[in-house]
Amino acid sequence: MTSGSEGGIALPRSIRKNWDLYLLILPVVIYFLLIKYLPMYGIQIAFKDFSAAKGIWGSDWVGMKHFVRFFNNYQFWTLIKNTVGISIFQILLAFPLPIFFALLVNEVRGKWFKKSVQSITFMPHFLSTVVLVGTVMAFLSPSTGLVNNVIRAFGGEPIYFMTEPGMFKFIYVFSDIWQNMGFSSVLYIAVLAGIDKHLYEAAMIDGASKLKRLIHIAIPCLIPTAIIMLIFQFGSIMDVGFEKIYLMQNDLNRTSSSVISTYVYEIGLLGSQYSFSAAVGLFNSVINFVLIIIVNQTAKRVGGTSLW
Amino acid sequence: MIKAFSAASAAMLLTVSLLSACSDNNSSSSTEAGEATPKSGTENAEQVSKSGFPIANEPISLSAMVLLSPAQPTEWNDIAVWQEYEKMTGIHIDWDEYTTADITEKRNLALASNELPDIFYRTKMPDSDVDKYGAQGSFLKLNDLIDQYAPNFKAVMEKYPDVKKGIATADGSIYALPNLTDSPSIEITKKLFLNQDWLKRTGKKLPTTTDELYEVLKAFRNDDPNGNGKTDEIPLTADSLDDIMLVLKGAFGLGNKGTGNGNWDVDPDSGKLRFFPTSESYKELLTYLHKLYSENLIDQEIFTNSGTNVLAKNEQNMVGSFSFANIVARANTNAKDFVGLDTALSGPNGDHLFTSARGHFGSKGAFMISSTNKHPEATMRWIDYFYGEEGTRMLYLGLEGQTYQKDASGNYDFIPEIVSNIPEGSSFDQVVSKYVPYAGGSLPTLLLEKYFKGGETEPAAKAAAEKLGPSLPEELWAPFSFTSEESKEKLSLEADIYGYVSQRTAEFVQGKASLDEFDKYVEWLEKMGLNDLQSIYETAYSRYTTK
Amino acid sequence: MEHAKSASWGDRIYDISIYTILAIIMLGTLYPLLYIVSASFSDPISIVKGELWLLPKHITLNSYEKVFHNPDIWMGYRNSLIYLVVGTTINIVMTTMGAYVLSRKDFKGRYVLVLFFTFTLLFNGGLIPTYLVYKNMLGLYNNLWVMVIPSAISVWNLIIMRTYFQTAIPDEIQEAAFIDGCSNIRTLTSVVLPLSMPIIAVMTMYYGVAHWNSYFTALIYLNDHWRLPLQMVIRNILIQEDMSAMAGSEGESLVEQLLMAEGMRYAVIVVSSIPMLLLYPLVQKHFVKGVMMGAVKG
Repeated sequence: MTSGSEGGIALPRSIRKNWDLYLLILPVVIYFLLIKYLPMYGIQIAFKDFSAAKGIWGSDWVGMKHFVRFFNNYQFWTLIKNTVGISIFQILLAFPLPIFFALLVNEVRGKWFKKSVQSITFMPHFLSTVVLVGTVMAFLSPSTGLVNNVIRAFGGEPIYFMTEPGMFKFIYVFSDIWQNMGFSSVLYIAVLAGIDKHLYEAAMIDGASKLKRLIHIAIPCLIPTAIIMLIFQFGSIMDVGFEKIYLMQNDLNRTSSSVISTYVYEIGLLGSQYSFSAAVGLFNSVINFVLIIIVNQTAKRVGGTSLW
Repeated sequence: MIKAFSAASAAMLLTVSLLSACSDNNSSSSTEAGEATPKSGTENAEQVSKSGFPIANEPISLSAMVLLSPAQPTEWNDIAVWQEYEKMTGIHIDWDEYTTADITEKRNLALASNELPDIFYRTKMPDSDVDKYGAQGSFLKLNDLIDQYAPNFKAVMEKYPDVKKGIATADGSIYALPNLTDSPSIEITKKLFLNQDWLKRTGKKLPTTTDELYEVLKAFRNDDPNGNGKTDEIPLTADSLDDIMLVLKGAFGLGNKGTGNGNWDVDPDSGKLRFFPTSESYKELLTYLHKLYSENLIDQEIFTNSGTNVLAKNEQNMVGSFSFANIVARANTNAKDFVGLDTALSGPNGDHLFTSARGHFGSKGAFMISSTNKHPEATMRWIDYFYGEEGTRMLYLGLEGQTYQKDASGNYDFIPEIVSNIPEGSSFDQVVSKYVPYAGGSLPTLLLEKYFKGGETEPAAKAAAEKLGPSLPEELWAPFSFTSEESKEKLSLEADIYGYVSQRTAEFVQGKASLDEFDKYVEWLEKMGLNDLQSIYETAYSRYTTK
Repeated sequence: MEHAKSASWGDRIYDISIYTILAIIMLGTLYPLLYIVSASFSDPISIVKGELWLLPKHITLNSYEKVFHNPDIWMGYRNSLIYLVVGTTINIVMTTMGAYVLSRKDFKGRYVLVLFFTFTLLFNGGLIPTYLVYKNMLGLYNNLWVMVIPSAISVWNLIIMRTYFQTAIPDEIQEAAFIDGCSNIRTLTSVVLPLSMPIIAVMTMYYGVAHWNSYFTALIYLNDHWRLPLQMVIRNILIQEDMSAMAGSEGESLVEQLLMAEGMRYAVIVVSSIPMLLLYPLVQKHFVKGVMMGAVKG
């Protein structure tokens, strides 16, 4: 066997020989063409003044008008700053924690304990955003909330968490971690479960400590999946959960809670301005696309893992 | 012979709708009309009679989109009034019912994809969408139809000048029939209610000025009126800071044309259109509110409050006063303790005005006819009935003898069999919704207080409204109309400017920003394009005044 | 198996710290959850008053009664289960097919395809054009298919699965299969898939949960009441609070509606998440199975 440049499988294969691979991928390609690409003709309304009566094709071209309007908005930089700020914070904190958590869970031998930890941390994922925000606000309430009661018990002054602009990012990201860490870690736990046991046995025979086994076996196995997830994270940097931010927003934290999606909502709600929303959406997509390409190429060069 | 009959019944209908005390029963007139349905009839090409019932000689079927209230049966045609009305008119309505959770998406989809139902009936349509889709041709222009087929609505327009001014778009077209009210208790949107039990305990009288209010609130805070030995009293609260400002700003001379156009009113000195959040008086209001807030006289959680929070605080007897449309939606066990003001508060400069009030306009777009509707004349006649008194009574009370009766003193109410034994687990609304479609409000009709049995017409709220009545502005504006170009620019300017105003307002009241920065705030608003917005509003205002 | 060996000091400290951290995380997560469950059994007024700490206050089943009193709940359950089963089956088949092909290093054009797929993650036609295409061109409107076809593949999951195939399935095994004369499809079904149970379990769960939680497709594309999934039914139950703020409701019931909605919010969460919590242990089992099989391969 020549284990050549294309990994292990070195048998020369032509399309004819691999015809069944093309058969397998065909439905997938058709799916993307019909379900995802066909509606993309609608992107043009970002450059038009959409009128329902004239339809998408018949509406008048206006060039970059909607983009210019968005860029010239006095809030533009605040919106970008808040949106990207929350996303970065999310990547720094909410992204690595499920990996860390999965590694911990993987070390647990007690079956009962392991299952309990997993099941309990998995549950918050099913809360609706309304209930999540409601619960967070109940816990942080200055008059009746648990957190402030604890602060008062220690002689402190109650903190008005929800109206403090500086707190907004933390509340947003920590509640997200609380809600989704368990759920996101399932993937990593599954990957860890797939590790060949022989690797561990061999390491044990070599006398490696548990910590060493973690560092030299478990973590390297997680890296490819983690990098893929990270690349995706960068590809959604301009999108932050609209509903949650909207529910958490109030006049006093607005300086740090105004994001692109809430702004579009404020304008779109009143005017059903499809063209403007489409333009902002397209702007976000372009930024996301550029980022995902940059991160992907970097990952490819540095770590050898990439989307393409 | 038939013509003569329909003319007679039209005359009857008109008298019925103009005279308020009418006792004739509509079921007899409808059965008579039901007998007279030969194929001949009117000259109208559409076979639509100009007056009387039935409306169409051939059965007509129309599709309609409607917002469903949770209290209502999921099939709107199960409501007794609609069955009866179908018999009367010969028009069948195919209702597509959507809940509040879906209506916005479904309505937007229908409009944007141009796949329209024949009728939009109570679909929460925003004013700007009425103008926009009207101008694009999705809705029929109704001016001529109203002229020819809507005697009741025409009479309403004559009677209420603000309706006539508010209904048309900038170029004079009418694309929608509105939801209208003639009920001070509903039109005075927010009222201030004080805890009279606490007033007694602190030895205070109902305040008549903002200074007295301050003293009362201070007494509420200091004198432990709920008697639990703790200073947990919240002297003044509401769902939001806005609600508190609404009931106080009249005392500072702000909003002197009502709430029809939000933050816009007329400068009393120059007589010009004014954006009042930049005025000196607004600064005074903020100073006053900041004083209240910093001395713990306003709920410290006002910026994150909600209706349920106010209710919860009331349940613990912690509230000295609150601002809302009525008492019973925000207070339960202690609802009887609350009472409205005796008179509007006077402000530091002697302004004696109560401005949390709108004109007769509930909403502009309660009823639209699509451009694809094949029977516009019949549709217009169908809806016009509900702008007459007889129709309104039918919407709110149902059918005489079957669901409502008139007592000796001329008051109307549901018959006792319907409302006296409400089964466990269901509400009053659910029970009456089997017969009448009003639950959820905002119907295309003219609501009259005497027929409406809702929260705003409960006695205490009604009494509060009556006492404020004399202090209302002389003129209450309907919302202005804008051309689609104006509207687009206005919307994006407003999103920025109004957002900034409410943010800074909150900061000034809370004290995070000092009122010394007020000039800077005004400057910043000007930078954001306040002058452009002002000129858009001025154009609209001059159109409004000349209508 | 291994615990008999005397663990070193370092390993013991290591174990203790892991258990401690996990116990803290578990309690931190558990407390708010218990709060929510307690709230669902409590008198709503004590929730809004902030009297609730851990155990239910003034225990009542009112919220649940109200939820189950709604005849649509069972209908929603049934519909959601149908969408879940049909939808997830399609998801797994489609995703596996795509991911396997993309994982094959000898498949020409796989990078182009990944880029082609990833593009759709970032760009889309917008709601109205998509609606028009689905409804008028593809016939995806007000039927079962619109609930399962548009969501047939998530690019995210496709790539994750591909990465798993690439990293966890040793190339040598596939090579051996080809030498034995297996076709590609046969290699996939009898060699690759049995080794991929952990990832299939994860995919089943991710897709399943997505189907279970989704309401937006139903909101836009379903019109018949009897087709609505559970999440839509629940949305409709919960809007009462919203409606009560509108004019035209009868006085006394306003307060009740406000409070009822408060309590029902929590009950609804409990009622709607139970099926998924039951599904989870079934999925968890396969993590272990996967390891066993992996170990057997030799």
